[in-house]
Amino acid sequence: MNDGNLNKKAAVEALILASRRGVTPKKIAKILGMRLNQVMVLVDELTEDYKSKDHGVQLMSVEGKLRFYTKKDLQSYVDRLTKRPLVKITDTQMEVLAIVAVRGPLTRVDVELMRGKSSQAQLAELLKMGLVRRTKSKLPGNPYLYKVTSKFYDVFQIDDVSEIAEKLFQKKESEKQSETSEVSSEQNETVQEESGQSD
Amino acid sequence: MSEEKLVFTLPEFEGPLDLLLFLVRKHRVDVRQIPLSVIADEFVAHLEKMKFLELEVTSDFIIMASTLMQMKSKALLPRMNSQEEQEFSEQKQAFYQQVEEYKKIKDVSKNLRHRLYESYSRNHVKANTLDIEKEVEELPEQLTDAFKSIMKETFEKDRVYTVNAELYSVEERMNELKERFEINLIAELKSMSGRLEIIVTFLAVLELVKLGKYTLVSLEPEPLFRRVEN
Repeated sequence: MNDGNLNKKAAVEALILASRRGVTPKKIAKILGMRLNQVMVLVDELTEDYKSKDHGVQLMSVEGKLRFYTKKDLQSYVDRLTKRPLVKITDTQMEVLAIVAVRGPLTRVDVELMRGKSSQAQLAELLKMGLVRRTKSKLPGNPYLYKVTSKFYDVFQIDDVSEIAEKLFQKKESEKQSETSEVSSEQNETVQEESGQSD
Repeated sequence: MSEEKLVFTLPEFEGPLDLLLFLVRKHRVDVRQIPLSVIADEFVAHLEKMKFLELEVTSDFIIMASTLMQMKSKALLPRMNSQEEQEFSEQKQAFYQQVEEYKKIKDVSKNLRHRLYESYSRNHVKANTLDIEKEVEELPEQLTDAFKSIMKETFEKDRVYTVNAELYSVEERMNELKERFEINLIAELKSMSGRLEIIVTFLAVLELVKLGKYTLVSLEPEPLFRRVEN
């Protein structure tokens, strides 16, 4: 029984490493003929195993696909072997990208309403960078609907947009609690700024 | 010596909402706690400063300023009836929501910047980096499902009608399809009369995609292919 589990775990590991762009737990389950929750248990175990100091890689999920990544602390070495080209994004582009990521799919007009400013140039640039894509909608006038691409998830190493937006909901609540007095809201603001930088 | 001028600088703002957030932040309280008239006055005062420094005040700033002044004047006037009252409170709500929403977006944007920075400290690791290996390609499920459901439908048709022996070639079908700017797979296959024709059409579409003449632009609500313009 134990042996069987160990073999399956090894198989999960092998599948993740052999895949080019990562593999979903669903696909692993299909290939190994296991139930999804069984696979998830093994994935959790693997994730824990790799947290050990003896391993230089870690298991992460990006856009639902399991992948191994080198560990942060070893980057100075890894950089000397392989490097990823820098993605240059201006602050305004990042703002538009944030809107598309959190509120997408949405039209250009929706984006502009939220920013109170024309966003055509930023959207065009993001399309060119392959971080955003658009499809024709069935709304009157068939405007394009914009949403983020898989490349967006790859570049930012995000599993799900709720990761970057959920933090905000927590922040919102802490703001509400401290609304009662000015002093506490001040403290809160500084805490926010720190947390924004450290995580 | 006399050429030297005193230079004032103001922080640069992306747009009116950016400026609003800046003004709100100075109060160190929630937007909703600052009286509208205060925000409106500060906003206009800032625009004056920008003009004085010969900075370009774009139309979006002017629009926001006029909206704010309008709301301020409405707040000063005694309300006529409950309908006006309601309209005004809705306008106010919408304004606050816009500011709050924008603040959220700013925060997400900051988060993203941080994620991007962090992502550079992790490299993707995979086992198969050799050229001799090839990923097993799978057609998206929606495509195979579309094909299967059409095949099932025509199975019934085939039992009822006698199909005249007619030969289709993938190449011919490709040439026919190439006239089209867009191909809706389901609609296309549905219009076919026999299984053979459906198979040939499906193959022709796949062949066109393989040749790079068409590309799959969406799977929802139905698979749609579009011609690649050279």
